[in-house]
Amino acid sequence: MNGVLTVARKEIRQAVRNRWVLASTLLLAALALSLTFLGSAPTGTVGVRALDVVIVSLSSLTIFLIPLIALLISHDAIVGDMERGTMLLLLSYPVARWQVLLGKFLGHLAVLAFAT
Amino acid sequence: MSATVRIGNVTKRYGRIEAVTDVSFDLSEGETVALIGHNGAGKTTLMKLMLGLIRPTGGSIEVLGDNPAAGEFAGRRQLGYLPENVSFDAALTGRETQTFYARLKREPVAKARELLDVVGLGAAAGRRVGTYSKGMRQRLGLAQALIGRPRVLLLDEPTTGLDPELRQTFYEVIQRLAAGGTTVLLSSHALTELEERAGRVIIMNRGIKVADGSIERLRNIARLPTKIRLKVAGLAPGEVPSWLPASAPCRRLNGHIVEIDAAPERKIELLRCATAAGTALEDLDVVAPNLDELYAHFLRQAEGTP
Repeated sequence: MNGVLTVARKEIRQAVRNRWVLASTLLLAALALSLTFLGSAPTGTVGVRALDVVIVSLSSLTIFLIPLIALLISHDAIVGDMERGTMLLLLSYPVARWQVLLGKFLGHLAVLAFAT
Repeated sequence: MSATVRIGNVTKRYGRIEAVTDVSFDLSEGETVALIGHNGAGKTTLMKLMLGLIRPTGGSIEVLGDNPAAGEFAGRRQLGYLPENVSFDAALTGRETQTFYARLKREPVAKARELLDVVGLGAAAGRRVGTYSKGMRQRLGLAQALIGRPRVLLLDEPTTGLDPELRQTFYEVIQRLAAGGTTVLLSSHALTELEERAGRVIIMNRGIKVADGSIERLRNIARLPTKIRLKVAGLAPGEVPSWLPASAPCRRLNGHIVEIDAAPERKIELLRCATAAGTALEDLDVVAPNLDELYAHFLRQAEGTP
């Protein structure tokens, strides 16, 4: 279990350094803000409460955007590691493959959770 | 002297290509072994097999009592590995990288950081790995391989990109570890460098082990002639010293140096002739066949008898 946490911690630190956290947080924040502003516009005519519209558009946005970001980061974490050759060294250490995968998964989960 | 690495009749096949064919050898504690061979001779494949990154098609491997291919990685804590093209995550600093690897091996972090000073990275430890030069990355690779007093060190071309000074420290570190009982297996192309350091040489060619033994033993097997170079005064160009037995092949090098190829057991006899003849001998050099020549010889032999 120790190995999993170590890998996860490294992934988080790397994501912070690479400004992945910053970029995805800013992107989501900007979209959420613009939606709240735009979302309040149609309320006058249709009569739906502003908050409902905002919530609906926000959730549809996250459904669409979050898998996209997740796909992007995790692809880089595993395929990128293989291509750079860092995976070779990592696997020569006393960690199992599932530990590496789980560690990377946990790390990126934390990053995404923070961003949203 | 117990064996730390046992390799028995190992074969590794990638599709139709046989990367390693029926190789067996034992490595014991405190041994420094040089693995030499062409590019693609199977050196890296052998190391990966020992690490358990790939499984052998046939044969058995035992590293520190474990079978690496079975996913038993308890022994890996005492294993150091430096890949051929070492690379690290560019976003982290040298110190963070070293800490990460030390944690994975469950070794004290502070000790691992001291290793950065050993390889001369102390000043650059706070910088990102992305800004490092090739030599500095190689140093970092070395530092991570040395974490936690490994009992087996596998170094795949460790000295490429290192400057001569660090190369010296590198070999000092290796020697110190070997004296402490670590098995060091290193592959390299710098044969002359290995000559003085490696106690044993394994020559690979196209996945087959061609030769195995200490350099002296290989010299005896190869029976390559020792070159004797004489500087004789007052010899006309093209002329050969009269005392020389007709059977000894010799040639003239530039100006007045005579080079004689002497078979190992005739070396002393020829030298006696040269000094007894009373010729105006100015200088004398005996050149034993070096690792380069031995390597070339064994490769030729392997090609000749398929």
